Amino acid sequence: MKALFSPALRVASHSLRLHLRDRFFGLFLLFSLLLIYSSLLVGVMAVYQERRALVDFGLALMELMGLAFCVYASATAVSSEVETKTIYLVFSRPVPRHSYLLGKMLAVFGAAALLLAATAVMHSSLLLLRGHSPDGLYFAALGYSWLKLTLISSLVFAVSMFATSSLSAMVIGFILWMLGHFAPETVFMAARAGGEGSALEFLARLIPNLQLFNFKDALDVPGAAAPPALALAYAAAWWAGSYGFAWALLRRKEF
Amino acid sequence: MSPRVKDLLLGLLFFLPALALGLRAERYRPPLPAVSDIREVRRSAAEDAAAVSLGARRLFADVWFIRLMQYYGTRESVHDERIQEHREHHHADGSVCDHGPGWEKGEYPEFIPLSLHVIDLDPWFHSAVIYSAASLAYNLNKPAEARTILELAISRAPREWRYHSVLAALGHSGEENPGEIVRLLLPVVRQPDCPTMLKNQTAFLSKRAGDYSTAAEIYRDIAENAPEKEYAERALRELEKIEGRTR
Repeated sequence: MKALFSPALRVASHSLRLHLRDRFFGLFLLFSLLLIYSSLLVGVMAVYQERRALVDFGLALMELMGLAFCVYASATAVSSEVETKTIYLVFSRPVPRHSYLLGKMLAVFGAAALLLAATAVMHSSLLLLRGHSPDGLYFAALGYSWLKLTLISSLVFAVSMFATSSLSAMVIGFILWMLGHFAPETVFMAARAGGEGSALEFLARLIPNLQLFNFKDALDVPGAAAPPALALAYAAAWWAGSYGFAWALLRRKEF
Repeated sequence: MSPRVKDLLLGLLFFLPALALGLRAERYRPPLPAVSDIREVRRSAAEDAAAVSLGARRLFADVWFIRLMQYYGTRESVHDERIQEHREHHHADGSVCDHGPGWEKGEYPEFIPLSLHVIDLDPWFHSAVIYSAASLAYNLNKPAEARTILELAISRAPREWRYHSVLAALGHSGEENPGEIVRLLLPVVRQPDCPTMLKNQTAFLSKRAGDYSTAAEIYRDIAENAPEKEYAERALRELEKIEGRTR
């Protein structure tokens, strides 16, 4: 276990620093902050629903900016090191490929958490400035958003192992994100069209159910959130699946 | 079988636990209407698809509610046409013409489709539902449509008690019993995010029922908390009147 995690954590901490220094991270952060600030205008237009409008816009913007960053960072994490030939330096040291991959994934997860945290601090300050306070549900929604972002990041990692370019991995990532919110409908339609237990239904089930984490769409509904343990287990199963898939493709890859 | 295909198949095997857990996770999803139940309004199909696929239905419900308020807050051209029509009458004999109830209030034909659209996106958006129902019932003289809005919202969000209270109050609207309507609306009106228009209407009904203390309580709340300046100023004037009456 130590043999897996020790090099992985070293790769993760180094990659995390690279992500934080990356100009795209700064750009995404700046853009998120500007958008959150401009949502004040929407709050004013919503009159007595200012809190709701500010919370909804803030949570959605944070998640979408996080998505843009995560998809970009995951799609380019390995391919950029191949292009710059940095990967040769890494693999010339005693760093197993599975640890390298784990480290890269953990770095994106960490960067996503930091991006969400930084924007949440700004957003919460804005809410407090307008006389509203972020409650427990707000932070729960942020937690579910982070799970959603890490799930899609891990999938983009897996896709980037066989995609022809970083751009195509990013496009597939965005498509999976959109389909993931239709997952229950897709499975239902596939089961109706092809029959229960058909290959079509199996294919539809290959899309992760992102609605499970979409707590921000049901903040007012008592008991609407999926149990945190189930959400975490589901996300972890997809992390593990994507990690295993990426490892299966990376282990024999020639650089 | 080539090694690449073998690797791909091996890789896919790692997803089996996620697929198995997906079956358990299927039960949990936000209790929102199905995608097929979202009715199009103002060519909103692309926007609605974005709302669902980005997982941002609440945000789009907010946007549509703002559009609804802007629409209802904009003077219709029919207002001016009717006033012009009215001025063209000649009442040389001193007679007063009768145009029917609410003739000057406008038609707002898109009000109901816009309200339904907000409910389709987020039926738990209680302020929007109550705003729509109260505007239809008390401002636009369309109590039947207001009931339809509330019944649809209740069918989608049955645990939302505010809808039941407003629906019950509407049931008494035709009767000459404002006290009963006030009793039913009071728990809704005491919520901090209740639409000011409904608060104002309830205060007016309390006054009509002779319950000046409740009317004063609601007007005080409006005067102190309403974001709409006109309502706050009117509430202050009403408060002064009530205080003058009870002194």
